Amino acid sequence: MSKSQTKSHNSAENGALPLAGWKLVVADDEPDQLTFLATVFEDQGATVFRATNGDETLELVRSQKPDLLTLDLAMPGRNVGEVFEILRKDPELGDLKICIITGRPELRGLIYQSSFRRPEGYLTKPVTEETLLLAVRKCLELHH
Amino acid sequence: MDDADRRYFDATPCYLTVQDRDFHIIRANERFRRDFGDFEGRYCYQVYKRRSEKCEVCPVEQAFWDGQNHRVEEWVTCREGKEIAVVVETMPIRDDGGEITSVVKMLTDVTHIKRLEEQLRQSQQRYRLLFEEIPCYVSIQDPDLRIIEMNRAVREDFGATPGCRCYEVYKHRTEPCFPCPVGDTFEDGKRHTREEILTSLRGEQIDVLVTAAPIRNGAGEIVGVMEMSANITEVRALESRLTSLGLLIGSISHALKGLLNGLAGGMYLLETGFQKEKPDRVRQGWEVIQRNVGRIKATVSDILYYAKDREPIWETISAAELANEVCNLMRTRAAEHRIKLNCEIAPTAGDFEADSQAVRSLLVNLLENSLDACRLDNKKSQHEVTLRLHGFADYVQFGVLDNGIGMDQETREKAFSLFFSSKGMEGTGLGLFIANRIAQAHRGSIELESQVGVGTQFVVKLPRNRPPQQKQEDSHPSDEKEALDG
Repeated sequence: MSKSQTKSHNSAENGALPLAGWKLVVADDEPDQLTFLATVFEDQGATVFRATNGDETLELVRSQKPDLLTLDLAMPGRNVGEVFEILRKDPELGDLKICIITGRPELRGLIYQSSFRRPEGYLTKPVTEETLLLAVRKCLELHH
Repeated sequence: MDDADRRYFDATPCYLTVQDRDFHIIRANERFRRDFGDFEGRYCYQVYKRRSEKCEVCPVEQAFWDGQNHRVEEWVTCREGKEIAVVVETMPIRDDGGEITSVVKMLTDVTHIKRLEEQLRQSQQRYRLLFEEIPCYVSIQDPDLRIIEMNRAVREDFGATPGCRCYEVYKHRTEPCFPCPVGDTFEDGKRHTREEILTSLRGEQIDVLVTAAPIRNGAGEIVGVMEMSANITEVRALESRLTSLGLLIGSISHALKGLLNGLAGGMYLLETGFQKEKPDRVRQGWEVIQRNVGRIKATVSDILYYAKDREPIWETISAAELANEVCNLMRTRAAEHRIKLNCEIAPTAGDFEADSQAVRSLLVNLLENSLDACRLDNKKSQHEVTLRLHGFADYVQFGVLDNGIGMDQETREKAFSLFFSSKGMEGTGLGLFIANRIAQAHRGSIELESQVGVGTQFVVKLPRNRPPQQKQEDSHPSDEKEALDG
């Protein structure tokens, strides 16, 4: 039984919130957007760490080892897509699940045509609470 | 003249007459009689020209006088009144003693040749006119790239004269262009087309579509190349406008998506804040909504300014009053983000002539840019934005400073470009572009200094007086201003 399935079953059995026990890093340079994403996940019981630039994202992912990273592709301090590339190249982060949340749908090709493992999810802004949670559940392999 | 001679004489396929010293026609052939009628007792000038006196230049008289053959071209009128172009040849006839007794006059009908010549002349004139007046730049170059022929447009717009080199007059260069469509055509004998930018005598940049085509002689050798350049400056301008429009639509759609996203986020916070009875979250959601509504308003205002391309509506305004007004306008926004707004306004900065609405937009755009730069920076605990005003003899100077994220070199260089935004989903790339355009419309300037991680400073200089040519123009407030004010 995988780690994700275990958490999922435990949460459901205990009547806890759907994302209880899950650790997420949310990366977005736009403060309003970051607040929205983080609040939605926190409301579902997740533990959320917020990153506002590329370096902070790398730092938090390495120190917190989250179950999922939601990542904006264009982040200050790094080229577009660079953070994704660095994370995918990192052998210690082989299991990291990444859900891209970007305002630039045209970047999809850049990510999907690269030689790296594809992201587990890809959302284009604007995102609603429902689409966000659906994508995250899919990434974490949570099933009802 | 015996019968055989008479038959030959009559059968000659031209007009043949024999005349005496008095210019009487004493003999004529069949063809002459047919076309000119009776000749007995009449003078040649009466028959041929319907004149009452001898012609001023008479080849018959000349033949009598010098005993030589003579040849002239002239027009005669046959008995039906038809004009006939003829080549007249006269030959003296001598008696046994060598005395000239008469002159043979032979008229060959060359009317059709004359008509062809006239048609050719008219045709050449038409082609010349076409060449001269065609609304393109047309020149013919030799292998040394010297212009040997040119039309009026080339002479007038580029001051070209025969013998000058094309690259000198068209591009003000000292060496041939590379690539050179004319040179390529000389080389391979084919047509070559390129888009080029030429510089006229007056220094205007003219976008042209150049086509070079070979001109060959009878042996098929290339003796020259015709260069024809169609002025496509307006097409290019339209194209650029359409491209801008396309970019604008793309950019606005992108920004709207970001703003909608912000609104959706704000609404989520508001809604769940009420549900969970969390006043802090309600306040936070409300602020997000307010911020995004403010941004939508600013974006629409920028779009209106961009779309209208308006001239300043001049009035004399107090620089300090305007600066204070803008400070008050921005105070709430700065406080929302917990950014300190300093207003260092010299009350003695004085008046200046400007479009108050436009200058207000300029300053608001710069201040919003600074607030965003602070908001996006999480490296410092305290952020500050300052609006400064100083008055100088000829101009007023506004300064907008922040200690936000700062700009790298690329961002600095592109900061005032249309549709360039470093703010991801939030920016339309219109704000600073429009701020710069407003400064230019006032014959002023914006300078920018910035360093990543340290902050940014904008210095805006606006002249105290509007440009002289605009003083004469009326500056009545227009509907447009009202629309923007609204």
